Amino acid sequence: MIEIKSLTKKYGKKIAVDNLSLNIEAGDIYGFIGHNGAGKTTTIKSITGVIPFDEGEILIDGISIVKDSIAAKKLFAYIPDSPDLYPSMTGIKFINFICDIYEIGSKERQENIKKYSDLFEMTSVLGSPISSYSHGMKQKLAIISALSHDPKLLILDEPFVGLDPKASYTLKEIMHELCNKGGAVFFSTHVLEVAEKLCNKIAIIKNGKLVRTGATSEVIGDNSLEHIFLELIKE
Amino acid sequence: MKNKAIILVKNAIRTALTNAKFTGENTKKKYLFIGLYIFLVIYMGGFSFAMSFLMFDTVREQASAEALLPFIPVIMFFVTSVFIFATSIFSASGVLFNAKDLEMQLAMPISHFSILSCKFMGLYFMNLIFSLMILIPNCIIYFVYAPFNAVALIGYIVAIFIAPFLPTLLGSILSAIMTIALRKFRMKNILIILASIAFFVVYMQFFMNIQNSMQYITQNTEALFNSFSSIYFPSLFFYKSITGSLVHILLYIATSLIPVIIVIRIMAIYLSKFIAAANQSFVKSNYKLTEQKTSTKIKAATKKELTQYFSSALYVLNTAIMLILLTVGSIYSIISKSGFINILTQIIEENDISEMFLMVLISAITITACMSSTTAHSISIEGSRLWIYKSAPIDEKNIFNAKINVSMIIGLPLIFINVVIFTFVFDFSVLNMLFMIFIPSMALYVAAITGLIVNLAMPKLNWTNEAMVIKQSKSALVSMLCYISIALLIIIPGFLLFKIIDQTIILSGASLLLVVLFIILRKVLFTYGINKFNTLTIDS
Repeated sequence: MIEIKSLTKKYGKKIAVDNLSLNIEAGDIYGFIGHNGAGKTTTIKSITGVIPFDEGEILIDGISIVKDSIAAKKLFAYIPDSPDLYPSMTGIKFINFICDIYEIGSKERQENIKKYSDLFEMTSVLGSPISSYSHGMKQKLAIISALSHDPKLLILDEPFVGLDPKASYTLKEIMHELCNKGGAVFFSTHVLEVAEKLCNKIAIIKNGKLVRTGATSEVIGDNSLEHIFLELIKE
Repeated sequence: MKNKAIILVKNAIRTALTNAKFTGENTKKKYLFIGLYIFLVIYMGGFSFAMSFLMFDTVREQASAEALLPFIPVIMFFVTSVFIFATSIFSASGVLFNAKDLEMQLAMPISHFSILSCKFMGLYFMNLIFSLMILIPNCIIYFVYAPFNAVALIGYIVAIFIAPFLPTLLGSILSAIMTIALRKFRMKNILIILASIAFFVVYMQFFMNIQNSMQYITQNTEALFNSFSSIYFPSLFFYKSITGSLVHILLYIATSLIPVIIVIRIMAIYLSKFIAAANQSFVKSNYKLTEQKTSTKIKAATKKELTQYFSSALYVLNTAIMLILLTVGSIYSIISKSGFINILTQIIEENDISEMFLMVLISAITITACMSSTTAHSISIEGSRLWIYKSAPIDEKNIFNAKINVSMIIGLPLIFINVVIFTFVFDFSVLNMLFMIFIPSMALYVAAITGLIVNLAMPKLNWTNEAMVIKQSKSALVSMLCYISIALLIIIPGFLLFKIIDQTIILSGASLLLVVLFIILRKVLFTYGINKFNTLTIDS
């Protein structure tokens, strides 16, 4: 679903992501782990076309995010770590705006909005302006709008930060459901326990370089993910 | 230990200078931007210089010239103060109570007084630039004509720096009252926009009623001074300061600064309430999901842009205001049979300018239309929400067109209303009416594209309050210059050639020029603009 080939991103002279290659396949829940400033968000923003990159290639289901960005972007939904949404819009107007951009039909969008806004207990407040929402509610709205266009791929930056336990559980269930349907999830996290339990594959990034990747069980072995992570970033 | 308010102000200035590219490693860029700002200041100060020169020169010829001369700076001081007051009303709330960095500062061990003082100084510096641009040229010409007095010169210089304090404070108080009063009012932005338009209409009406204004001002300087002093008492202190009264200079400083300190102290006590009120939204939790309508991408993006535009009173009032005022003035003139259309009719009758009158009107509508373009802030205003467009499957052309559409949706009906009124009043032919519609509309389209290109070239996405984008950004200043230049490019050849070439040919030429400009700039937008958009990051 995502093929990253030799991705390099520089900020001036500083190399933020250095020759990174990854392959996320259908059915994967792929965790992306690294310390602060390791290059996780830069990688995710490069994949989603939010920032340009200097070298390498990124393919979404075989489509280049650079050469045919519209077709590639249609396949995934992206939620940043702290989603800033249009405060003057109501929740429902924002979801409809996203659905219009993704060209989702009336019936399909209505079903999806109902399903996900009920799951995240947001239906009753969708008529309120986003400016009145709490941080967690904004995050839930971003998730609902992302799911309302039925993406094959979810790309999330720190998705569990700010979510209440019930919403976190619901999101994990949705991730599993998407992967069972042949989709994939790629997300960054600092919560190693979540990554260990939820992901079938993980990648660890340090100073912009990929230091370990593979099936979670293979990467961890007999240790805990926390132990492996601390060992790797110490080296 | 340094005062925390001073540390905050210093930090804010340092950040502003870094953002303005006045500091940093790139020397070439640094000097380029410093040069650009100097040019802008000279350009805008030039208007004040010309106006002051005309007034002083007219007064000089009168018998009691020496006594009348100091009244002219008072008039300029009054106009500056009113303008600062008006703009502070709708920018103060955003800066004082709604800045993005407020939460962080409130969590720090800094007193509310220090935080509010820093924010107020931010507003003051914004207004000081305007005060400097208007009053420094006036000060220079005043001392060329008036007998030199060192104390008076010091008095004037001090007064320029003191002048913004009180109107900024009064504007902030009114803004704070409105913030509290309208906190539960869902359509508060619309109300603020309407109230501000009403204020500007009254303000304009005041000057509109002064027929042959320059002559009136110079012949009635003393009467005007008396009325200004009774409306706004610092006018008297200003007058005494620039005529060399040291006591009044000190009195002026005291009466300006003491209220500022007292009011900020009081506001600081209730700062949390003001912040809560400024951020309060109308919350409903009874939404029932019904059938959802679909839109095309461009329609959805345009609707989003319109919602974003009308949610900010500051944005509306800094863009469409001129065109709205022109329209309000035109309608009012028709209904009341007075106002500027009446003045125009009188000017045509008194002077032999009927031949070029159509040109004058087209020029007026064109300049006003260009100035009302909304695009120069439209990229920057996305700020940290830019990720939504950048990660969504929407073509850059659709995004740009949606932003241009806002300018056109607001501008075209207003242009049309004005043209219909003018055609009706001045009995223009159908062909001339079509020119009057086409030229300003096309100029608005060209201005909208230009504004967008300028904003893409000079984005400011990491803003903490929208006034930084709408009022202070490089893009706002440069695009304003571009708008004036576009209008002049159309107008000047017309005025130069109207005696030797038929008016229809001139207007056809202007239309053609606009079409050519449109084609070229659209090409630039869809090549250079798209490249710039794709490289934009939140740190821009």
